[in-house]
Amino acid sequence: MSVRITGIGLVSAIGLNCQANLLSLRTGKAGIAPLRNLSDREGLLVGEVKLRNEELVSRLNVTDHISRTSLLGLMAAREAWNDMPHHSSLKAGIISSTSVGGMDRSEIFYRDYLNQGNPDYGLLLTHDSGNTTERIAAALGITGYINTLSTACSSGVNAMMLGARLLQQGKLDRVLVGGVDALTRFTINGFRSLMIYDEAWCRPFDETRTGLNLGEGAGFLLLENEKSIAISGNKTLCYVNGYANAADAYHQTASSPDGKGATLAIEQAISRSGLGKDQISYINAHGTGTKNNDLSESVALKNIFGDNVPKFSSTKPFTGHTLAAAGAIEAVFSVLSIQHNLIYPNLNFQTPIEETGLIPVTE
Amino acid sequence: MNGKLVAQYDPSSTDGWLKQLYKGFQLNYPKFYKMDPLAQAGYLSSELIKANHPDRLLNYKDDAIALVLANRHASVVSDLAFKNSYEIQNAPSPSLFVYTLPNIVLGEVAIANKWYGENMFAVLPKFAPEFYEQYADILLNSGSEAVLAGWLDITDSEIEVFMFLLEKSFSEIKFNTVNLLKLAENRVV
Repeated sequence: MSVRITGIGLVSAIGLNCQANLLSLRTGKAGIAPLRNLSDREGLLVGEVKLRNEELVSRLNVTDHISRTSLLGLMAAREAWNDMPHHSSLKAGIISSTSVGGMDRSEIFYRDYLNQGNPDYGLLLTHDSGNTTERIAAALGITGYINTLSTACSSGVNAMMLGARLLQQGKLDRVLVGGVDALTRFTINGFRSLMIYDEAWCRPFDETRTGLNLGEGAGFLLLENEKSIAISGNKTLCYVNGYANAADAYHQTASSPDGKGATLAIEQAISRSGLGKDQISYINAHGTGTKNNDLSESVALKNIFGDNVPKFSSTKPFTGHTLAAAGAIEAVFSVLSIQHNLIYPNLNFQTPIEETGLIPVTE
Repeated sequence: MNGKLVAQYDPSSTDGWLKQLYKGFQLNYPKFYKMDPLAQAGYLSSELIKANHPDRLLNYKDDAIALVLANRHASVVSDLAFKNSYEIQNAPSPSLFVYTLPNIVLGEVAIANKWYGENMFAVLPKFAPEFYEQYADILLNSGSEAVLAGWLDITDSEIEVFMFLLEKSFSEIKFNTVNLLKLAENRVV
């Protein structure tokens, strides 16, 4: 049974709504630039949302302590929800995902705690990942089912998958699903310590790639069943027809060189959709730009499609790797791709990976 | 193991309890030495169960064995070690950081066995038999043939491990919350 996508919302380094993101993707305007918002890491290349917290707070009209993660999430969630009125006969829910939660506020708390011994303890209330979702839910008036997932870079698509399943099982009639992460010292320093942060602009699927650039943002999608659209009147933008997740059972933080986990997940998702492999016309790849991910992903694509790998590209050179938001942002990119019959260019590609020889779409 | 004593702590050894078990069971998995105590405990107890049911566990498909683990103190031992590495030693260690999530033990057991099945780690206030019953019920009715489940709570002062195997088509003791609680309370591991 297909699940309808009836609303989409985006915030990323290349735009503050879907239209702005689409324009940047069409015109090849990337969002990777030197960091501004975190003082001690100025100059590092990141995909930063070009609004400071104060600007976000005043635009969104919120009060109290709120994390940047919640602010970015609320912005994208509002766009996807689009002022849809609540209805007593419809079960509504929200599944958001994040990897950093309110870490951006906790870092300020921690600095003050060490420096002056008089920190604002209220900031810590925003730390928990669940708080980011609760703030978004409260602002949108969603009170039924509220869930937060945190499964690193797969978070956003896992939220989508869980939402689709809850609709299919009749547990919910409408559910907002997505992911959000803000840039923090915690993630920037973490990825740098793993030696996979590229000081230059990332180059997914290129033989010379040396790592990722982090980004921030949010992506949300509204999923509705027929009962819900009968009341909302929303048009169907796209359908979720297949999904799957699988493990690699290879390493805690690295993907297997044989692409086992990705191969299993892609195979099962296509099989669930009932489509033939030859009916897939575009793959929006994860393509982070790390040695490990891009090789593993390329091998998985070859495992599935053999010599007939469909057109594919990574949009990470536009947005940076937005971690928990990545899957959701790129799911919205994929909806836009179908709506506008577009394939996005994989920027910065020159030389194919030696082991696989795959060439992404570059224009 | 199933009510039998299979190892005993040797206070005179320079090795800790988990390392004593690893050597005592004559296991050969050098990665054990890189793991944090929580992952070591998960690995050791799963190996012990495997050793007791070698034929059956190996016959399941690699995605038919699910893992359902829980504890109370999450990854506190590694959390403190990591905090120590940046606060006191001033050198945050990525190899410690990896273990600052309790569900990493699931990954270690899956990696050691090449198991691709469902997995779940919950942090609960205390051992809750109904959690295992409900979760295993869902898994065994949606494609899993066996569930390796357990309570793995590790702090600096205490190691509490209770691992059990649930199988769809084989049962020595009927699986329900009463029996599970009885086994846990009697420490019949």
